[in-house]
Amino acid sequence: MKGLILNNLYSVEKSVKFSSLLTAVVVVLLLLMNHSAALKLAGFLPFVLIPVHAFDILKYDAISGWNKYEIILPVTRKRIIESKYLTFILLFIFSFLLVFCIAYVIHLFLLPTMHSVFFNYLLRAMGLIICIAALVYPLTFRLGTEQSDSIMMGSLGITLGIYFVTVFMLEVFIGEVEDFDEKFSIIFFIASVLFLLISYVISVYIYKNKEF
Amino acid sequence: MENILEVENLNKIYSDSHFELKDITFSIPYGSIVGIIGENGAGKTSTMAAILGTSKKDSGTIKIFNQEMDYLNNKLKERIGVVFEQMNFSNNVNVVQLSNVLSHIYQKWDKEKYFHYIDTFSLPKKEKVGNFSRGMSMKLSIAVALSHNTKLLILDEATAGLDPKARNEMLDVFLDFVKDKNQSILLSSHITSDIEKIADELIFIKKGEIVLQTSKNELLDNFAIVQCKPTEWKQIDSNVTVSYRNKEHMLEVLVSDKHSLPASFQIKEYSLDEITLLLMEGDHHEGTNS
Repeated sequence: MKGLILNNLYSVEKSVKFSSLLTAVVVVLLLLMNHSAALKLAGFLPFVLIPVHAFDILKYDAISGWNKYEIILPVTRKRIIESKYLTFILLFIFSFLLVFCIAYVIHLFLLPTMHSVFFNYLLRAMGLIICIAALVYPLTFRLGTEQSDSIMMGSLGITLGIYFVTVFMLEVFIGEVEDFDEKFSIIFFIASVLFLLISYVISVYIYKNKEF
Repeated sequence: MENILEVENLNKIYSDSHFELKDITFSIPYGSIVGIIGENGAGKTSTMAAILGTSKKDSGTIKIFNQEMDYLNNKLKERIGVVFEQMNFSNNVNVVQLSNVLSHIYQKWDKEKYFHYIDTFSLPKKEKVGNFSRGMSMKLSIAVALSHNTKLLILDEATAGLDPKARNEMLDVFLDFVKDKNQSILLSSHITSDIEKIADELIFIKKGEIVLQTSKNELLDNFAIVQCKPTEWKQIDSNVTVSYRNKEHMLEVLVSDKHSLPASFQIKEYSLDEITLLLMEGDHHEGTNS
């Protein structure tokens, strides 16, 4: 498992480093603007730029043939899928730590950034990228990387659909309560994590029956 | 002699292409090199894919190290080294990073042996493998395949595209691999000269079916290609007729026992390439003694 994850990370090492540097610079600038919209964007940006490289791994694996080679290695297909999901989770955690640490340092020494609006958008961004991952993985394993652009666009569309449906459902069921934003952000994040777990089970099933 | 690999009645239908593997049966004794010969699309790669589990067989049994092949059994997979026609490592890793990756995957990853091959093959250690030439890629694939206590080496067109010097270098490595009689190689190639140089046993495959299976010595000592008129064909014992084809109003016949031919028949000088061609293009004789 460690070897598979290591290979995944080597595959996208350069792009992750570049994206991380870009994210750090842009997030610092956004937070220093001390504006509500900039704060929201600072919460979103890292998850749009960094964990998405985990999806590129699938494409690179197919181009190089590593996806076929993995099958003959002394690892099970379940472990291969686990390694893909764990690589995504590692990049996801790294993105969170990066933006949180930057925001915390700025909050400590320069100006207050730790507003609820920042946390709300952080949770929503995390929920959105987890939802996208939950769709991208099984669809790519099923349809192949040739369809990766359509899968990405489709997943983004469906994720936004789920996002707005969740908003609508909450409004219907709990109404316009005072801490609606916080409640929605937490519920959407938890729902996306559950969605990812279901996606993992489906991906394992698809991959176990896949032929190369 | 005990076999390292036994394939029995392997069948697989590819619904999308209508191609099928039909009752593939063969075995590889310890210490031997078995070559699969066939034209493109004959079923060489499909047979190997079924053995390796990259595609699923419909029926038949595959035994490796005397155990039914179980694709969840990592200990079995540990001892199989594979080289595909194309290098299959991630393009963005270098030779050192690849060793790091594989040392966490193979329990018996032999780093020393790996870097010995890397040095022997003069491969750069810090360059991304995606930038490697065809020859370098294949050398790297072979270095990896030989560096994890491999007992069975499966090579699918591993020498294709290499220059003659590199090919010879690789063939010497393969011969060295089997010399202690504990390890074996299953090799597929359409370069028959490579197979002729190193293989002990030969399997000719055509349209998903084995048309001839024999030892190299048997093929070279007893087989022959004869040319005769269609009227003379009846003089050849049907039990020794393997394959035949029409060529310029004459018949070209591959026989499995040249000593049984009537003295009037003139045996043609032939190479493994010509036998392959006759087997692939000719009609397979029902009474084949293979």
